[in-house]
Amino acid sequence: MSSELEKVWKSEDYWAIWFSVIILAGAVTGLVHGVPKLRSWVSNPLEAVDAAMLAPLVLLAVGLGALLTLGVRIMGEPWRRFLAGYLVIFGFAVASFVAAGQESVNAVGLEYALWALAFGLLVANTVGTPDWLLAGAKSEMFIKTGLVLLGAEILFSEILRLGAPGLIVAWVVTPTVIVFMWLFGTRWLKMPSKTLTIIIATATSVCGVSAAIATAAACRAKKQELTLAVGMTMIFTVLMMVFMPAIAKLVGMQAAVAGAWLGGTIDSTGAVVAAGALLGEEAERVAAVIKMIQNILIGLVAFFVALFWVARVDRDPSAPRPSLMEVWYRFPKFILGFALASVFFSFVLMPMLGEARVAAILDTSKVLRGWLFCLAFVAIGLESNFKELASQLVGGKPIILYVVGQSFNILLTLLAAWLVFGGILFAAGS
Amino acid sequence: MRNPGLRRWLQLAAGFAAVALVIAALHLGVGRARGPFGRIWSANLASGVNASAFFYTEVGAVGEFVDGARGRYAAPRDPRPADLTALPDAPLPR
Repeated sequence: MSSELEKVWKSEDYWAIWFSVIILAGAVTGLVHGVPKLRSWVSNPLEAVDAAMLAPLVLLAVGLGALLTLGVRIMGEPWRRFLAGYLVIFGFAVASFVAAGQESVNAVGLEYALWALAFGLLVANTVGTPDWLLAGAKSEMFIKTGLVLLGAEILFSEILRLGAPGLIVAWVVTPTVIVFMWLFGTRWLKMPSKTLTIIIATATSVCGVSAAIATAAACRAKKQELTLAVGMTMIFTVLMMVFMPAIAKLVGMQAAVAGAWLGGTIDSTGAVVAAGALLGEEAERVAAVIKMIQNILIGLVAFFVALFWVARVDRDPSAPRPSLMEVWYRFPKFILGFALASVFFSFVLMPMLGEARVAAILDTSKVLRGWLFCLAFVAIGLESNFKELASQLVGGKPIILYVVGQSFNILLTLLAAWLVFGGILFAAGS
Repeated sequence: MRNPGLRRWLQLAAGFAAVALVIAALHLGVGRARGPFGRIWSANLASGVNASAFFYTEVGAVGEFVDGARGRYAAPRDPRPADLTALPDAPLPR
């Protein structure tokens, strides 16, 4: 028991929760506000980080660095080395946001995560990542903290707004696709890595990068596997964002059906809104709503994947059934932080402070979450090498899994969208 | 190259230069709408919501898009109309 108590101060899982509690408390009390979000630019990158942006950016680097370093120090790790590495990684994160903020790059949908990964991979695979920089590359700590912050954004009131049609498209199709891809990957393709299979399955069916990150943390996947899944997802998202609206328009699909179809299939939320907008206001609204309700599943999926891994995948078949305590010991605790943040914001803060104030708090925490995810992707890149990445792709199985799974997702979502938004199960327009 | 350390640093520099080139290529190809893909990207995405009418009236259906890629598609209007939503949501007469 004492060792479990010690983990409360010594493990990244718990620290992800403490970091988030401090950040969210700061946002609620107004101490943390005005977190810088880089501007978009056209031909001069300095437009993204002008003089007015510099001071808040330095403040963010120092403030976030101090908080994270405090945790690293209490965990008993070399905090000076962490701080030095962190500052350089923060610099790469700024560069990633600048690259993603270029108007045309942004229009094409090449998001910051891709640039962050690219910068990290570039360094790791050319000059190599020095030890002091690697000490700052605490990708899991960044990811888990970002995920707990993401939990606060999942509001139960949003679920109620959507009604049965939205729930059917988002909550029936998504688990079906996950189960299909899991079975297809493990039984048919016989993928050597179960963790890679489940990451690709959740990234395809739920919401791309965030779901991949949450699942990877829940099943303790290798960083290279997360890199691969995120890379594939982003490339296919760009293609789907362009061609799916064109197909919907070509066949004369109803706006609501098309919106539900796009929202249920395209992985990134930004891409969903952009694709929906191409089909008009109604399609955009339905697409965004479906994506939002699908995003709620991130926490549930991560929870069940963690449980499934502890009870089934990682379990020694010859060992007796694990006790509840053992499940608790091995369960990634930051997922509880994710769930608690969602419950607290939905049922305590929302009635107490009102929708507008909660939205303002979440605006702050969202930007901070973006920074943490960006730091995580730079760190993952710094920890990865191309040879290991290539070894994951041997035989092309991950790509086959993604393409087959996504095709199944596209067809099943289309069927569900037609049934519930096409006037078959519910009156059209309801 | 004899000096492997220098070679690695040059590779890193080349990598960052490649990133800058990719952004520049996207800026020229997408932002300035050059080439068939550039026209489609900019018509659809860079201009955002209002561009949908432009895409489906100027570029038309997927078949025409393929023709466009082969160079048989006439260049879109330049400059594009300021209010793209005002365009009819049907193919323009040829």
